[in-house]
Amino acid sequence: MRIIKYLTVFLISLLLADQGVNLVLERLYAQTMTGQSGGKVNYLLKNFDHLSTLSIGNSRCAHHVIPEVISDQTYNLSHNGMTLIYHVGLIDQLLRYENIQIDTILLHLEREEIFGEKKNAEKDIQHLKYFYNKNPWIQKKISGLSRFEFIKYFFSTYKWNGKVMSVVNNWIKSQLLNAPPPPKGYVSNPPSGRDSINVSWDYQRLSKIRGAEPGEHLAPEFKDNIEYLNALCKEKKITLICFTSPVYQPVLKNRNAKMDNYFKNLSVPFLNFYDINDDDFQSIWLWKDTYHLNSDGALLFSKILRRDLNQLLAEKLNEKK
Amino acid sequence: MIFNSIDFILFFLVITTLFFFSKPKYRWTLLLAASYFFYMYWKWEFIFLIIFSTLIDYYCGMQMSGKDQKRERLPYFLISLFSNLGLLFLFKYLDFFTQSTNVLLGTAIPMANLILPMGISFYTFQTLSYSIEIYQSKSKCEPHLGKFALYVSFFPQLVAGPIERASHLLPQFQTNENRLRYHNVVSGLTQVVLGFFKKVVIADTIAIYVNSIYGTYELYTGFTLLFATYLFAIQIYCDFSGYSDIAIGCSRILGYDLMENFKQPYFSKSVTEFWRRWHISLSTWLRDYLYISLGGNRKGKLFTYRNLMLTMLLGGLWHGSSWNFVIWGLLNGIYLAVEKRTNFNRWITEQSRAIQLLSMVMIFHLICLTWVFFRAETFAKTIGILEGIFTTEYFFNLQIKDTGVFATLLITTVSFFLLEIFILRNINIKNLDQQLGTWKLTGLKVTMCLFILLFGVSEGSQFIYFQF
Repeated sequence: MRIIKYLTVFLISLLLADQGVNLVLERLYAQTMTGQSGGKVNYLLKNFDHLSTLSIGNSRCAHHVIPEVISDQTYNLSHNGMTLIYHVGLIDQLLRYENIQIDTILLHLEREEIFGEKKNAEKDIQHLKYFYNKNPWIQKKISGLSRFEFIKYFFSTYKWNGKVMSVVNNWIKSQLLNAPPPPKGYVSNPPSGRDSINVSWDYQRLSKIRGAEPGEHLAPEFKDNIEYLNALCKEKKITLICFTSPVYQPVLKNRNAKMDNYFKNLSVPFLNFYDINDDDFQSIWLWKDTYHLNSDGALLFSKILRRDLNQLLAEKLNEKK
Repeated sequence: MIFNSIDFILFFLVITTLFFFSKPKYRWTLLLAASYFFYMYWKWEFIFLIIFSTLIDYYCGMQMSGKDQKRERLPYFLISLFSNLGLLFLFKYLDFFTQSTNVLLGTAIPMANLILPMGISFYTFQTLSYSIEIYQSKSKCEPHLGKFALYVSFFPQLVAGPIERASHLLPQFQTNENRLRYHNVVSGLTQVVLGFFKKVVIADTIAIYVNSIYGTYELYTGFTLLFATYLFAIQIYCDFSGYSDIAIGCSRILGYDLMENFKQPYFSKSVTEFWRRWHISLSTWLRDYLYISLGGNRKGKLFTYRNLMLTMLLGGLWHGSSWNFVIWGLLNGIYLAVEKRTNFNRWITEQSRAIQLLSMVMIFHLICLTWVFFRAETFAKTIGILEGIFTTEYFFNLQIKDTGVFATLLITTVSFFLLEIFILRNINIKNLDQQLGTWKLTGLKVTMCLFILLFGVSEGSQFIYFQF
């Protein structure tokens, strides 16, 4: 009897503490307007109810696409290190459960994730734990990661797992230090004197890895996610455009046809800038490292992206007419 | 099955419930079935190795028990020794020796590439301790095959210890008096929660940082590599002692007492003391069955140093089949021999607290040096990391990588050390409920649970010592 009493007290205390901490974190999260742990999403939803273009992808997209260059109503909702499943989850949440209208989604992809070279890419969905009880698609994907995953969500605080420090840090920046959020989600990478050294060093280090050919076939997980997103965009009458961005001294030049064919069959426009035939992008002065352009490079790239995007949208409009 | 998974938590809840609702006479059956299930959850085929080991040692034990003369017992002891070590050699060391032979003699003997069965070093040493004790007439043999099988495979400590002695664990399976006791449940649960906290909050968070630095060590110098090594020292301690805590806590809830495996080793003032506080079940095993068997300190100074070096070298090889582990063992052997020669261990106890504190810091650094060999996969990598640490250029250029992870690891590690310094150093975890009182202990446990929920790495990574 004493044991049951003790275990009951322990469990009740744990549940109460769990609810209390969750309440505090919910408050902090709602007030956060900067950073990647909710800040970018909150800022978007608070300041926009309509977007002409939503650009989304990983850190390369965050640093490469300058929203102002694309259009006035463009927002860059990229999150560092995240793969396709994360972006699809986030878009699903925005389109189905939030009050925002979007005309075009500009989705940044990496060749590694298209051909399944990125290990454990599907696990990135766990970074959307916050939406577990709010979004069935995200819940299904997270639950699919392991048999008993759902049990962890019995505790409300688990949705903050791994994010607490970022939430607190971003709340302090937003509320106490009044740090301005990045303009329309764009994270600028200003050029510095060390860039060329970093690029050369990075190029040498990565040359072995980058020499390897990617897989033969498009990854099934990639196909599942992109096809789900395509269907969602069609349902919501949104134009989905996929693109890749340049790298410094690209080595992998094959597989373009495979990607082109796949997107053609899917009727999704695909702009492949990975090995863009433009000498400017081979200048070491435009790069932070071999994968990330600095703000000068981003400006050049965004202009090219805008040009091709406008052309594409004009063609689409003509097709409709 | 790994401890840090929901699968294990559910498994343990079911087994505990069934255990206390079943007839005491048949509880060993339940525990044996559960232990085999626990092991087969990883790879069912390898259960046959455990069964083979069990049958051989049971047979040898039974044969030895009837013989009065050591000489008569010897053949059976040798059968047990060679079959256990043979299995260990086949799965763990064969490829290492093949590779070393190929390198040294320029031959091209093909590698066996066998999968290393989880925890093989642990259960092999546990069964060996049974055979040795019977051979030395220190223990009686276990006539009940089922209970002996349970001793070999008892699930809480099957894959990563503590390595139990037959004389300590086997008698506990004979009694049918295991009742659900308040003190056992409260202190056992506390130790389990502490174990999870150490593993998923501290060790796994640190692992993210250490893996990224050690994985691309060429990019870093000085303090970054040194800091990663300090963190690895904390990681391996929390990882391994976390496992031991969960094992001991789970066993205590069921009413079984396992030996203590760690006693705040980084507060040691000498390497000798460190080895009395680190992986106690292995270090005492090596002391009792190897060091003393080799003659210990009874045959003069030179033999003592030789015995120390040999014991630690084999201790190194026990951890893994690579030259890095050999060097790791040798380094520890050298430390112990030097301390023995200079009588440092006694000298330091007579010094002021300031000098003792200084010694603690020095010992921590000496141990950290050995961890570089332990953590780096190859000798070349170890040299690269050591060179990097001693590079003065950009020495203080500390790479933080992910700020969220870094902040988390700092906060959780500092909280843990405060817990160790102010609570666990003074009060044995078994008596925490009596010393702290129910409310304070509940508060402590709830806080640790919240840390696990908020900061724990939830992907269920393996314990480092599972590979040994």
